Amino acid sequence: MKTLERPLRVVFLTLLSYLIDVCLMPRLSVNGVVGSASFAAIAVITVGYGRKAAFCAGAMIGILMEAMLSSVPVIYLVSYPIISMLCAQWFADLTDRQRERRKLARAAQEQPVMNSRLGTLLVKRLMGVVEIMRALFRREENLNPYLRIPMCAFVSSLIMNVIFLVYGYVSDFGLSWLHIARAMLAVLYTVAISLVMTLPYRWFLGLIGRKHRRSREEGQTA
Amino acid sequence: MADKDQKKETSKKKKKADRPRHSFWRNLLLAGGATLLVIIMGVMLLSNFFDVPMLRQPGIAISRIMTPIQSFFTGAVNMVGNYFRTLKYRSNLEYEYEQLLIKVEELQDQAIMAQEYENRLAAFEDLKVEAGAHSNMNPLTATVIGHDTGNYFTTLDLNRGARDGVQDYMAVVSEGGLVGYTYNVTVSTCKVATVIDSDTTIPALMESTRDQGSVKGTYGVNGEASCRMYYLPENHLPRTGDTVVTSGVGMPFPKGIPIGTVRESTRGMEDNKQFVVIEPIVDFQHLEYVVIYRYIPSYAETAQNSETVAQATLVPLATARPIPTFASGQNGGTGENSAFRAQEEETPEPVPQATPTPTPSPAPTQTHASVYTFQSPTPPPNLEYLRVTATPSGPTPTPSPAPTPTPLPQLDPDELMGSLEEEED
Repeated sequence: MKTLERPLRVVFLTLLSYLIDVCLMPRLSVNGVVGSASFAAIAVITVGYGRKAAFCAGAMIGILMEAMLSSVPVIYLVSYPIISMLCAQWFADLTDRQRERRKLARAAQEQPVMNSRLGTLLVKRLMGVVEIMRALFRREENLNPYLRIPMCAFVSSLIMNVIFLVYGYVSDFGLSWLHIARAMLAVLYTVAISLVMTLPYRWFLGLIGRKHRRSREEGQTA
Repeated sequence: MADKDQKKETSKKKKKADRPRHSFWRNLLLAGGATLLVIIMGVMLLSNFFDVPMLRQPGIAISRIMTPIQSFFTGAVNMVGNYFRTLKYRSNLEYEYEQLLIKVEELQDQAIMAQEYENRLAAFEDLKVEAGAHSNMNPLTATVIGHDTGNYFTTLDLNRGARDGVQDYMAVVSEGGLVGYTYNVTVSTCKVATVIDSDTTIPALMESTRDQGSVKGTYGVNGEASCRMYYLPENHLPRTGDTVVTSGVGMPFPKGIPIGTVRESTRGMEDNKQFVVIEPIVDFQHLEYVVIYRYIPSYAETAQNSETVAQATLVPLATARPIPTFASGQNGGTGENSAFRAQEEETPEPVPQATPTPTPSPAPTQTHASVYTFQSPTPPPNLEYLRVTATPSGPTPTPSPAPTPTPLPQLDPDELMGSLEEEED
């Protein structure tokens, strides 16, 4: 049972985030805009447990949304797992293969480490935001998880809101700047939720104090 | 640099080697779970395109499982939300209640102030009416700044004095009735001896019968804010409700200022109580503003009054038992100054009797305890107090309207005497 502790925690956290999203968040709307607690949970799971767990969490939430709140058919069922996988590609821990690949690319281009180059880029203002993002995603080391979680929540929520806006535009319900402003507010609200819920979610998943525990276990075995 | 890379690689290999290896069944279970999720997703996806009941079963099953959980969670959230809403509502209620309490207090203060201003305005209006009606008596409004609350004396302090033209023995009036007279006048203040003070004696007369007497306060006798009228003719019983006014004799008072009304009379019943109880018009408990009549009769007027030739006039009374009286006056009119009433038995022979012993009234001394002799022929002032219908602001007992004697055709006393002599012959 202990071996299934982590997957069960992920399942429970996913269910809890779904319930919070469905039952609690409508009561905490800001100016009629509701944030997504599910994306906050998926971001924490993505950063903490990787791609597979992120996909499972996204799929579970998508299935639950589709079964319980199928206002727009298929859209939740498809978008949640896809967005989770997409964000996991960017924000999950780097695999050994990714590290090797980036190392080889760096050696081939004979470029300095992008992380150290980032500051000079900012100072010189020569490169645009796209270049900075490329540099960010070409890093060889993992960023701080507390930085990746809100970024993951931001990107996933942004993609979801863009999907809804496109759906609305296609459905011809008169897209306006007000919709876009509301979408941006929803994205920011989701980021705020992820910032608030990061610590409790990570504590629940056992991701806080993991190094201490591991070192303690190593000391005991030694 | 190469050493560093080598170190990193060795540490990674170490980590990889230390990573716990999961059991086959665990991996199988997780893989099965993931596969199940994918299958459910696929089935649900297909159910949107193909209308096959079997494809809807996973969604129905999930909703059956999740509905009670979601209902429970929603109920819990609602309960907590309602609790906080109730708290907020209660705090709002408390806040509003406190605000309302503050507002009520403010309104109460305003109401008290409004009542105070209203009372003051009513008092000022009364004073204005009073002063306006008797502008020829040189009225002066004054504020009561002190009460002597002794057991025997009831005096007032006013904020007017000699610099305002106030002198001793000036009439002080309020609410259409006599308050008293001034004494102990200083530069800026003066005292008022009220009519209910035991030491105050004011010459007065019954308005209906013109019987003269002396009004004396009884505050020191029985603690009541009332007066007694002494020295009335022995054979006359005044009615209850008759108005007593100043006679203007003996003091430089305007004639006719109402003092009070007859409340009870013991005359004729008890020999040792030869007085009439007078209920003052003025409410001495709530006296705030008064009018001082700075009226001083001139010597010419006094002399003119003293030389008045008595002219008898038959004046029927509106009392229960009308008694014809003879009155003498300068204008041959009402004869308030030296009225002589013929005896009831002697009518219809109106023989004017001799004037009662004319005791010259001494000038009032500084102390208000002086006893004045007010019998005629003390020269009275020729000004008479006119009744004004000012509405009393306080709970002052309204004096009952005294029966005013209707003037009858005047009789010439010479002619009357001539006819009597003829009859005797």
